[in-house]
Amino acid sequence: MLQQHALVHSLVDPFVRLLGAQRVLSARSDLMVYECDGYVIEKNSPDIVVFPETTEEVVQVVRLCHAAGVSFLPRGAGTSLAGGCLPVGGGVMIVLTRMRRILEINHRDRYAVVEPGVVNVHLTQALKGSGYHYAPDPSSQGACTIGGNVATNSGGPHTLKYGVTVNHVLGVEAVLADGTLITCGGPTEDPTGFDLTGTLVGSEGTLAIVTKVWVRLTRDPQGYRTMLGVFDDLRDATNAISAIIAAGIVPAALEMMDQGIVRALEEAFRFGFPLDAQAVLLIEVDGLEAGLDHQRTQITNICREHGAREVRLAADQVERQKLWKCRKQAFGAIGRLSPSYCTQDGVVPRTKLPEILDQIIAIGQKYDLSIVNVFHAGDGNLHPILLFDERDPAQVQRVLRASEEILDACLACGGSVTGEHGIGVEKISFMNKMFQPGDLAAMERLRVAFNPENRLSPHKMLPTAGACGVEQLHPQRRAAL
Amino acid sequence: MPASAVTRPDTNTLTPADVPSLVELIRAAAAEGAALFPVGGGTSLPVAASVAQGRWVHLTELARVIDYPAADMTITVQAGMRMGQLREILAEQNQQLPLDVPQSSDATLGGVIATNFSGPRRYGYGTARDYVIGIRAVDGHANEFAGGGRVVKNVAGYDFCKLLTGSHGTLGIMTEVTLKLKPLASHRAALLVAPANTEQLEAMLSRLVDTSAQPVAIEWLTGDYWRRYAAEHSWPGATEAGWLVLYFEGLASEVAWMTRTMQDDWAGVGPRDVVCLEMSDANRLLSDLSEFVAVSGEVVFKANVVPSRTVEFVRQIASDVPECSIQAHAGSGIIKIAIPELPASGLSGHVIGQWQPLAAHSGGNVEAIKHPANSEFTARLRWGSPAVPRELMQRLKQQFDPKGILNPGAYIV
Repeated sequence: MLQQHALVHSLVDPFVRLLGAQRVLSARSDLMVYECDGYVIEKNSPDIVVFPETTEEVVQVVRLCHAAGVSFLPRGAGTSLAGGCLPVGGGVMIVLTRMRRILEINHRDRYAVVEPGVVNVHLTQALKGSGYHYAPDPSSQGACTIGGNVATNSGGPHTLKYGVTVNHVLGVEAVLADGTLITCGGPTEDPTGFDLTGTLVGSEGTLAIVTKVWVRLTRDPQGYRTMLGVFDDLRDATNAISAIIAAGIVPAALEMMDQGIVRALEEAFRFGFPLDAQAVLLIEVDGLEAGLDHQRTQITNICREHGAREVRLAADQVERQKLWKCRKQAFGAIGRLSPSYCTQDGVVPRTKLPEILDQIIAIGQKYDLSIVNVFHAGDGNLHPILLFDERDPAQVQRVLRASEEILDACLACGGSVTGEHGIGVEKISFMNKMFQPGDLAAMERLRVAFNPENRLSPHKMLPTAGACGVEQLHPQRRAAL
Repeated sequence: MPASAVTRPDTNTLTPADVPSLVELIRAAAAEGAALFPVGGGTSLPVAASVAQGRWVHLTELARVIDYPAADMTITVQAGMRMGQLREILAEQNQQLPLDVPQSSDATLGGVIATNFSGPRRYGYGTARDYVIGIRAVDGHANEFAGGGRVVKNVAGYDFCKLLTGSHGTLGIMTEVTLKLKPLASHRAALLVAPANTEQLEAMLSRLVDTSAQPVAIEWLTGDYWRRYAAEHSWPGATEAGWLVLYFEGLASEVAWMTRTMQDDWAGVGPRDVVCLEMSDANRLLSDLSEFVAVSGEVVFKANVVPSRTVEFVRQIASDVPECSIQAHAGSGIIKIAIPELPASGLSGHVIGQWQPLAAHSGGNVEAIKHPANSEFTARLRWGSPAVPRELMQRLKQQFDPKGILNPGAYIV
């Protein structure tokens, strides 16, 4: 590894010649910001961080890395939660946040072209008043970049009706690991040839570095009905969720918050959530005004039939936005509950929600941990939040074990170990559990076709990619290699 | 004259009864370097046959439902299941896979996904790539592999669902698919209008971008096939601008509001007689629109352009080959061009010389999706210019099928 660090440092001068000293960081104190993303259990500094501003600069940076034989990886805003932009083993980090131009908004043909560093919400703001929006809205949308959304195939609360990032990406321009610039797709639908756009979305930066994205724009709904269903029993709430889906209603969003999270939110935002309720469902339908009240009545009736104490309707747009603000900032409110927390991201078939929540409660009791839940219930996408104090090593171990058991339980229900956060480094050890050797061999072949020398984002996603899925008992050990 | 599914009167065909048999026959073919050509219902064969070499592998025995947890709104089925049978199974639970395909009693799910076929409602519902959430296939190493899973939201591992959709069986032969489903809409209606001219049509299409009434299909129909169809169904008479059909689905209140709003909106643009078809009439029209590719001519091309270029593109085609009939999924910029009989000469000149460059001008392409089995279509005439890097496609092909036994020739990879 020492050899690699020396090799990487030989690139400082060429990078400075290419980008100027302002856009190249190599001093240890400057690099600390880049030692992790939202996954903080493992940390490691890159050797160099560069800030290209154009596609051509990305191409040149990658060519220099390729020629020198050093590893490199892209980074957006660093909000990802699975260590996707953790520089395992060091190397060059290519930060794309300065490529933040919206290149085109085409109203008639319903697409926009953006650079990868455009912040998700900035595109939404640019579209305000046009009658269109960019549908994927992850909770971190105020900070996360569209390039990062493409890398992780981001979701968000509204994916239940509108789909995830890949359903809204028409094409990408990207730089391969040897510096070759490619374009897949573009403003038209159904490009001839393999769906390389769909293959690149969600590949977590292991196949190419995206430098331009064509996104589909979605018509704004005419109206909304946003409801709060208040339940005295957790199981009643999950049964109501299954019943809503089974009735053929497709809400725009269907989120669940348990008592623990509701209490934290109430303390933080004073919305007026009932503190004694075991579960609160946040349900939103959108679309044509002509159909909304019918759907609202249906949902209200289903909730009542399943034991809801109360179904409250957001009175106006202000109240609706406040509700969503609470939901999207839920993770911020958790600081009130404990010094540290670990958010999991499992998925189960929607009808298995009652079963899996019972298991999560039992796992929490077994490891003597508080676990609160706020999640995308309509998709079956769970986010159990394990509360702990990272200064206590014994608690850290219990959190890791409980997390693993929760994800194993999701797999046993026929689910997945990640619905939207990605594999990154965090979940590499689960790939062998979720996939058969033949599946992983095929994934390796796909990786080799794009990134044959594995210098682009090594040690990520695949257990064969160099990270062997060791037990996470010694934070930082693996990251530093 | 509905086209029937094509079968090969050849003893050299293989019909694996289960997945292990498929794995074995691929292993044997790989050992001897013998080409295999995967076949579903055979409904896309007139075009595929001309590039297919080697033995045909019929997948129609792999047609079981593996798991249908209806309350989860997902289904896992084997790839050889016929689309018509799948539709019936789903309809019993009031659910649907909203992909409109012709000859659905023959066409298989695997064939539809492998060819990425889509029809009128793609504007409102999207295409195959939006519904496949899990996939199993056997590659050219005889390695059975899977991607995705059985849950509607899942980002674990590389997305083979996308890679294999539209790959024409060149990277692996599909065996099993998990689909996300939609509820069946309770009400539907269609609006039919004959614009006075193409300027008026263009104005109507532009206004659709901003209307609150959201159709699930925007179809523009011109040419002899539709003139005959219109006469048989007593449609209003049309000019060279043909007919515009909008298709709506939803709750009764929504469909009523949308058809009314749309007619009010059009009053400002000035088209004559708007015909509104309800429920069963609307269903029949959708079904007829879905059959176009199968029944409209011997040769069918598909073009993709940005939606705003649809009218301009179709005008060029109609002036080059006046006998063609056209169905444009105008909201999506997807244009299907049917020519009754393969002309003796001149077609290549139009397609390669004019249409492909015109489509390429807005980032698109023109490819053939149907032509007589015995006709010699060059690769360029068949596939046009792929919109993705050929070298990368070749590297993928090399990785998944190093012996080049799976549908060699497709995409020229």
